Amino acid sequence: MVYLYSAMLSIIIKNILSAILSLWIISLMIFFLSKIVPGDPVKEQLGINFDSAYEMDYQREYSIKARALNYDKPFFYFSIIPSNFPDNINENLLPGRKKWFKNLLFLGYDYESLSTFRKKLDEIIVHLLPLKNTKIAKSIEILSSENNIAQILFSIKTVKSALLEDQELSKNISELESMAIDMKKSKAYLIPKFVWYGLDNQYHNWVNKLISWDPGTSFIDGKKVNFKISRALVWTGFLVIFSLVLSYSLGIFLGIVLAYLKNRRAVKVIERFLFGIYAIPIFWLATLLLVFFTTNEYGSWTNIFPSVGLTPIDLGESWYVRIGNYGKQLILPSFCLVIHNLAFLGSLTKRNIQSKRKEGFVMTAKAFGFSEREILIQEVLPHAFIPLITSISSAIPSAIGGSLIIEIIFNIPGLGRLLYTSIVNYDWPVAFSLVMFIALITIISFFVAEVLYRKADPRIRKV
Amino acid sequence: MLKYCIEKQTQEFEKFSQSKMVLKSKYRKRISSKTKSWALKIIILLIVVAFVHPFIANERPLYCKIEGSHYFPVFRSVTTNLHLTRPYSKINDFNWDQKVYEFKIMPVIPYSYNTIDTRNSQYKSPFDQQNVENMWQRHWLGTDILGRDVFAGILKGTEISVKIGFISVILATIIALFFGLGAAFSLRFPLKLDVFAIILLLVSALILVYFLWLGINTSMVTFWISGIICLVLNYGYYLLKKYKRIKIAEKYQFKIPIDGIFMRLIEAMKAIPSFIFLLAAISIFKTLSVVGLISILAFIMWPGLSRFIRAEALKILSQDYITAAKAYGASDWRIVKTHVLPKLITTLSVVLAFGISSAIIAESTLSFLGIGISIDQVSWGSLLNEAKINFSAWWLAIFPGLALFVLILSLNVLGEELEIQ
Repeated sequence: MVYLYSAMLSIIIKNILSAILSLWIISLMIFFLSKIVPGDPVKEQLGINFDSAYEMDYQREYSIKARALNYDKPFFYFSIIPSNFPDNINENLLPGRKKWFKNLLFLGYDYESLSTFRKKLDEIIVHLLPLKNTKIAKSIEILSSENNIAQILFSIKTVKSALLEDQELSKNISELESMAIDMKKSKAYLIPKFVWYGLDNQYHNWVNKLISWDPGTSFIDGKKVNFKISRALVWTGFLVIFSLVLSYSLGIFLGIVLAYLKNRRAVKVIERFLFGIYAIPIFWLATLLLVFFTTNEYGSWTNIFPSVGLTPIDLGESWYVRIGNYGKQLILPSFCLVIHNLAFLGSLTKRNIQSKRKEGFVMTAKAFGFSEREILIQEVLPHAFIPLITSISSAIPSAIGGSLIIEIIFNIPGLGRLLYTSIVNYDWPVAFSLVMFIALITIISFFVAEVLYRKADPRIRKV
Repeated sequence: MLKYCIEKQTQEFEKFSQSKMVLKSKYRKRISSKTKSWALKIIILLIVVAFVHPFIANERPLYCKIEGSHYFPVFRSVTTNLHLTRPYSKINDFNWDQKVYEFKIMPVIPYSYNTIDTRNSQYKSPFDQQNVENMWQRHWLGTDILGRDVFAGILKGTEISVKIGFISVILATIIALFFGLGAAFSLRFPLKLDVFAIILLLVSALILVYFLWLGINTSMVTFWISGIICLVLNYGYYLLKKYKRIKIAEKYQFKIPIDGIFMRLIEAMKAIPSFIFLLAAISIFKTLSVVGLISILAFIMWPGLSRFIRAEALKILSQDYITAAKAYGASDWRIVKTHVLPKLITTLSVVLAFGISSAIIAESTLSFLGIGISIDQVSWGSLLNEAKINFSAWWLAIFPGLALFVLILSLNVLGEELEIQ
């Protein structure tokens, strides 16, 4: 007994460790994804495009905001970069500046001479900004954003020729020109260098925030992400749990009935029917129900359920009052979710029971004179449930995935809708926190299923 | 001795040819039992439709005679889309219904998927009075808001569904075979490497990743050069070990936990629900081409497939005859080719059938939501999406969904039949 429990404990610990490892891999993948998504997050946060006359103010605001969002920190604990790169290129916060430096550094220029050149260039551009509406506007734009040295030199020349009257400025510009010509290329970028940043990096901060359940604010409405997720979770949780409980109980019942039904033909017909239901895509079923049962188009008798999205969801009330009020709206979505699982679970249970009924221990029980019902409850069902337990581990993620589509179609403000809207609107803090959250739920469900599976089947406990 | 060798060879050859014969008859048997099933017939029919749909539904005539010269507009447009020919220079490729023909043969449905029939716009039901000249021009399955024929749309949608479903699964299977078989092999015949080889491999992997990143940003020449250098170094060490014993290397040898790393990766991939992964991937690329969607679907499907392949391959590899083959000095590739793959394919085909159906469902769900492949591509999902806008157009909700349902059902039935076999 003691041996068994210690084996169980070691299995649990092993599973927890592998779950943590998987979560770590997922967090790395999502962090990597979040760094390559389109759009500038700081720009989204600021929300306003300053007029070009206030460009300096805009740049200052931009850098303040970016610093507040920790964008000046390095990405990861360490990095391997070309040796002419600075230790932390993320310190260049201004919009487009990092790309400018990167492109020139990849050509082999030295970082120090580049940054002094850029500083000088910025100073001159401040003086040039009032002239933005003249002939040299295009050259000024090239100066401020272009990362091709030859083009920069060319526009320096055009600006210089246009500004011959202004003594001081033209002197500065000719200094700049000589700087640009003097900058030397080298092949230093071919040799990598290893830089260790320590714990103060973006990934570490992000993970810390996730663990302390404070993943920042939404780009769209500035609300806290954890508030948004927990509010949406109520609906999805209700849908998923309700549909899972209903489909498992109904499915097991259906399976038992099918396995013990005497009429072979009826069983075959019902099985074919279930198989057909299983092949119906969930979104088609939802569309059909929506089209035929929520409007007056096909006679008033088909208008059974409320239309979608007509009644706004009241935010002030507590969740149980809301579910009571909008329960009628949830009938069709739950039906869609249940019927899909029901078909699968019914036939699975039936198959399991039938295969177990042929085994030796059932014969023995029969020979001992137990009744059919006793044999079913004591012998067959415990065996038949084992595959069902493993199916739970995949049922929870697929139910979440299914509820995503259902929520979008039926306009339910759950996790799926939140994810969909946040992805469509490029609201990355919400989207990536949600993906991480759902992955966590999935991994927990895998873990629970594994433990339950071992508890239910004594034969594999020792392994 | 020579005589013995020849005798043995002829014996082996006979055995080999016999086994081939047995295999052939087995395949014939399997195929003949398959052809009885209606599911396979429907799938083949839909695949054929996916290829020939321009000849069934098209606004262009199959054959026509204009001003004394003969044209085959449908055939020419198909070959033009494949970049094989150029369009006709004398007649332009639009307003086909307003041209003056001396003689013409129209396809069964005289509308393309994107032909806008302005006389029958605003949702014409199949049973409505339609504004057409004769029976052949009727919209048998109705029209949408712009007056596009639903039947032609469904036929075009078949192409997208079949293309995405089949190609993505084939791609995923190739990736999964590589990883799954690799993991199974490493578990059955652990790969032992000495310290220097491990260090060399790790360092060359780092170098390759670095120069790949550098190469993407500058020029790929450095990447290729570094790749060749890494290859030479590793192979050189291998050759060195072959001809000269290195004592330290023989002392410190380690098993590489390829299988462990692989399983952790698979678990991590499986923990993100596939639909969410799909949404996240699409958000990065904004709109997808068909090729992009296929590659993303393949990327989502390979973990599950490779886990299955690994389990099946382990079952086969644990047999005694594999040990015997290994003892005889058969190479890994030979074992895979002659023992593992033929057995694997029979069990794999079941999973593939279900995989194709799930890929098709994923694609149609995405286009139903209005994301995924670009809007100008017609798919069953995008047709169903139009039903959501106007509830009175029941034909838009039923017929595309029915086509989808039939394909999914027959794929599932086929999978079930293969499983029973």
